[in-house]
Amino acid sequence: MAVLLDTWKAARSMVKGLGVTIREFFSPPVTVQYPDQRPRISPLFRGHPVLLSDETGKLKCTACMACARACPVDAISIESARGEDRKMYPRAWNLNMGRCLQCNLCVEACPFDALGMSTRFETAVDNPEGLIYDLETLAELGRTQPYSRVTVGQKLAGAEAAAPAAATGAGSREAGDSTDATRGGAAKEGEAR
Amino acid sequence: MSIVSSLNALVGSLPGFWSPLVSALIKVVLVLAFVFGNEIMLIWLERKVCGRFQRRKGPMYVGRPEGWLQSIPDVVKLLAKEDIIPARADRWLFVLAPMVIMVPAVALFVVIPFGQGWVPRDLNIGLLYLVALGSFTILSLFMAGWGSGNKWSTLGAMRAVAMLLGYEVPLALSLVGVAMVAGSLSLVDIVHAQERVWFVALQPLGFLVFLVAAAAELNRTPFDLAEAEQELVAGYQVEYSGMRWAMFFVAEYASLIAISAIAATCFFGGWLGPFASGPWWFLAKLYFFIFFFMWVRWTFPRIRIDHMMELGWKFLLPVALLNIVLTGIGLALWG
Repeated sequence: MAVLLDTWKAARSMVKGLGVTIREFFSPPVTVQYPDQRPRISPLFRGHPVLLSDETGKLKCTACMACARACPVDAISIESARGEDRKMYPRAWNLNMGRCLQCNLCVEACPFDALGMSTRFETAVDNPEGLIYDLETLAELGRTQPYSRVTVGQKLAGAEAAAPAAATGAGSREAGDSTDATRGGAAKEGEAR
Repeated sequence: MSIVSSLNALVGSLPGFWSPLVSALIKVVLVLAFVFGNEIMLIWLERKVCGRFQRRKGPMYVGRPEGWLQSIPDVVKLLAKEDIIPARADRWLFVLAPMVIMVPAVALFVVIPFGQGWVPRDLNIGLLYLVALGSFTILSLFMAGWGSGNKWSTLGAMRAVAMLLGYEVPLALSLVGVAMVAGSLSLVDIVHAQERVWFVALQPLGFLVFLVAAAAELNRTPFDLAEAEQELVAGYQVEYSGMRWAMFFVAEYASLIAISAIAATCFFGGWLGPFASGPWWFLAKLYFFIFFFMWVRWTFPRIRIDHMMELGWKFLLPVALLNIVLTGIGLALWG
């Protein structure tokens, strides 16, 4: 009798297994035909840092060097200068993408909210020199392309209101995390580059 | 139907010994065209089906839509590869093995009835012929494994032989029930005997045994012990490359088609259908079984060699014998 019972159990589990695979067979494929089809990039995607500007298009960066100090891999090099209005500004702000870990520590360190993490993911170049992003490039990316600003342990009044807009990623994060601004979220994510 | 009869009349009108020769040649060409045509299709289909089971899309770019021309670059790639014969191989065995394996793979189709009157040759010992040829494959596998002069190849070949003993006996015995009910070994007679009801309904036990043993005969996962890339690299195929390897591949797909054809013929009424019986029914059933074997392949992990032996000798064989006894009793009571 034990043999019959074992046989029955084995047969049942095999049919069950076949059921699982055939369900997968009839489910839509998850493949993204990448070069033809753009992948959906989460608005919380953390790429490389970009320089943010204020409403007037002026860079928020004051060349305080906090990000350069926070960077664990020395990917950021800044040359500071004093402007005519006696305010400090970065004359050069270079990011070495060959080194950048996309770790977000520069964004965390920035006291002026002058940095964001780009949602670009196609950073391949055919020449190592292309890995150095200069001030103009980063400022332009910060002005025109979507980026994310997610910092840990930051309590925001508008966190609840911002959460639904900031897509699913924010909801599943730990309680201490909060979402700052995620500019150009759902509307721009398709064309993120 | 009229095409076949007019062709028969035309060939029959040829003088002397030309008539059987030409008729045989035409059949050979047609069978080869059928086998290789379907095979080209299967290379692509396997990749698509595999992809869908893993929720991928499979090949998409060569031949739009759905990459239906993918088989052509696949074949060209294999043709362009270097032909390597290992220094320590037994040259004759090594070179002959891939040629030998093609023989049973293609010769199986001789007795398959594709439709009413569409059978290359209706042997009155059709079933026996199928079983005998099916086990012939093992000769080539062992030649390849032994001839390669490689321990993994030899291990794979030995597994293949051990497995053959395990599944071939239940496979043959599962078909005995079919022969008993049909009262004939000819596949055409077997199909005609299913005009009232398909044998899958009369021989459910035999069908299940056949299905498992046939999956083993195909040497595909979950019974790909002889290849077993994770344990034996590629078993008997380790040393083969390019076109020589491709011949094993082709033979494997040819047996997939053949086994599916046997299943459709012996248990699912061949070309018979609930309406409009014809070769299209045979083809539909054939592809149903091909899909089923692919489905099985992408569902179950590889079985262990001792479990395989146990399955064959301690389970399938008694069940196949029980099926014969039950069939005998059934025939005595209601036959």
